[in-house]
Amino acid sequence: MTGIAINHKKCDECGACISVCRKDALVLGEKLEVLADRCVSCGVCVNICPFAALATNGETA
Amino acid sequence: MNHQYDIIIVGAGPAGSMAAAAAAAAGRNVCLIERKPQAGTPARCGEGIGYRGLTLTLEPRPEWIKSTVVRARMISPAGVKVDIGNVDKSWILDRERMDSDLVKDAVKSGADFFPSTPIVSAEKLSNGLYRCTAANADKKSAAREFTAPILILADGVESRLARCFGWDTALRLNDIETCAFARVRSDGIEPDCCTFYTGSAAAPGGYLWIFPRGAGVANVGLGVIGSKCTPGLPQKLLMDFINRNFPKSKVTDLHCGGVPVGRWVRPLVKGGVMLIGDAARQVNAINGAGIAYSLYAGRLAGAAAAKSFRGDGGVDYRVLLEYQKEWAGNFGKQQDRSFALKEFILSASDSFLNKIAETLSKEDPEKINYRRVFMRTFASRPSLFLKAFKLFR
Ligand SMILES: Cc1cc2nc3c(=O)[nH]c(=O)nc-3n(C[C@H](O)[C@H](O)[C@H](O)COP(=O)(O)OP(=O)(O)OC[C@H]3O[C@@H](n4cnc5c(N)ncnc54)[C@H](O)[C@@H]3O)c2cc1C
Ligand code: SF4
Ligand code: SF4
Repeated sequence: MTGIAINHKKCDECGACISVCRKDALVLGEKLEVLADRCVSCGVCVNICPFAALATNGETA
Repeated sequence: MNHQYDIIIVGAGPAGSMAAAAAAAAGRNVCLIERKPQAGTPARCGEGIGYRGLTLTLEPRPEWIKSTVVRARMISPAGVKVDIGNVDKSWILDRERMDSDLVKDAVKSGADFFPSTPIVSAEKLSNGLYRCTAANADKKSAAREFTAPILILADGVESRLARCFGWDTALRLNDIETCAFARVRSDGIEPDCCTFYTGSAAAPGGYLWIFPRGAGVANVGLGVIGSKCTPGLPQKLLMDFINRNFPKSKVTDLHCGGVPVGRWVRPLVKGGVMLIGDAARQVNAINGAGIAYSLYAGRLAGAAAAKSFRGDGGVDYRVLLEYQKEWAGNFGKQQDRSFALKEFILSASDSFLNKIAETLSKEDPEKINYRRVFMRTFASRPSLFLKAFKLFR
């Protein structure tokens, strides 16, 4: 499985993950969303989330 | 629904609100668009600002100021305390109040404010206008659109919309501090002193701050450099620190955020699009301070945008470059130096920081100021001194 999982209960909508995504695959509209067709599962956003709200490869955050 | 304006500003932080107020006061038809229902809430900020930084752009209002700070203390990785008894006057602000007042000022000057309006895409149309499209919760109605010949992007750390116009604003992992912070109520808070902890145990590649906010409350937070961050590390380090140092305290308003600590974006202007504030990475890379710069850049950009409208209704985009020129002249070089210094500090080890603290702790606190800390740092490494000399010439 590719892409990342977002735990909306933990996400504080701070935008830090968006600022490091080189694929512009994260968008904060009504809430944070990942654009599956752009995400390459590099995991960079997962590592920098201060609240551990993201996970890769089908794991849950 | 389509709204037409002279100038669109996305993001109602200090940068966007200042730009909106300046452009509207100059008679332009301006809209200020904000994702959150209430600008400034929650405040993602330590709320510290120097007297000079704030007064450069604004007349400070008493209701914005939570406390006045005249001392600072740095704590080295080994726990050695260095008291700095001689800091420039600084304030701890009420950012929620200030940010919401700045929006009100913009509206009073004539700007239209759109809260709860997240812009998800931006583009240049064939007629030369810029269009921003908002996400809408209710999918039945048509998305709200905004068009204008000038677009000012003040969308903060994420700086996502700039990418729609070819800027590469994605941050390198050594150019972001990832932060967690909270308000702590405790008897142990010193009312007029800012405290900083350094070192890889407290905050790898960053620092931890305690900023007194009056009434026994402090903003306590920390930043970890992106390259050393693991999922949830900032939150874990923060909670461990609070539990150790402020047991039985009351902790509220736990939030997180990112601080860009890269170089400011060049160019700042492309055609009719301008970047300001965190979106333009106009932050002091050493300490992560950005409020003063956003206020300043916002006002400058708003004024240049208004001035670019000619008598015949056309727009002269060359006028927008005045903003970039003035920014580069007044703060550009200073921030480039801070960036270079940050790169050095990232490469320094805990033992290096400890050694400096040892030396400084033997000196008279009243004689220590930031400049002295700085000189000691360099004096302890002659090769660096040479490099620094070139940098600061
Ligand atoms: C934890 C932390 C501590 C800090 N401490 C300090 C400090 O003590 N002193 C200091 O000087 N600086 C500090 N800073 C930095 C300071 O907060 C920023 O530099 C400052 O807020 C930048 O202002 P801005 O207007 O550029 O962006 P912001 O204040 O971030 O405002 C951007 C606004 O744009 C909105 N937005 C974003 N995207 C969209 C979109 N697509 N559509 C609509 N709206 C959008 C956001 O909701 C937000 O309201 C700190 C930052 C953090 C994260
Ligand atoms: S960094 Fe974490 S908390 Fe912040 S918006 Fe991304 S997922 Fe949410
Ligand atoms: S995993 Fe990589 S590509 Fe996917 S959203 Fe995160 S940073 Fe972007």
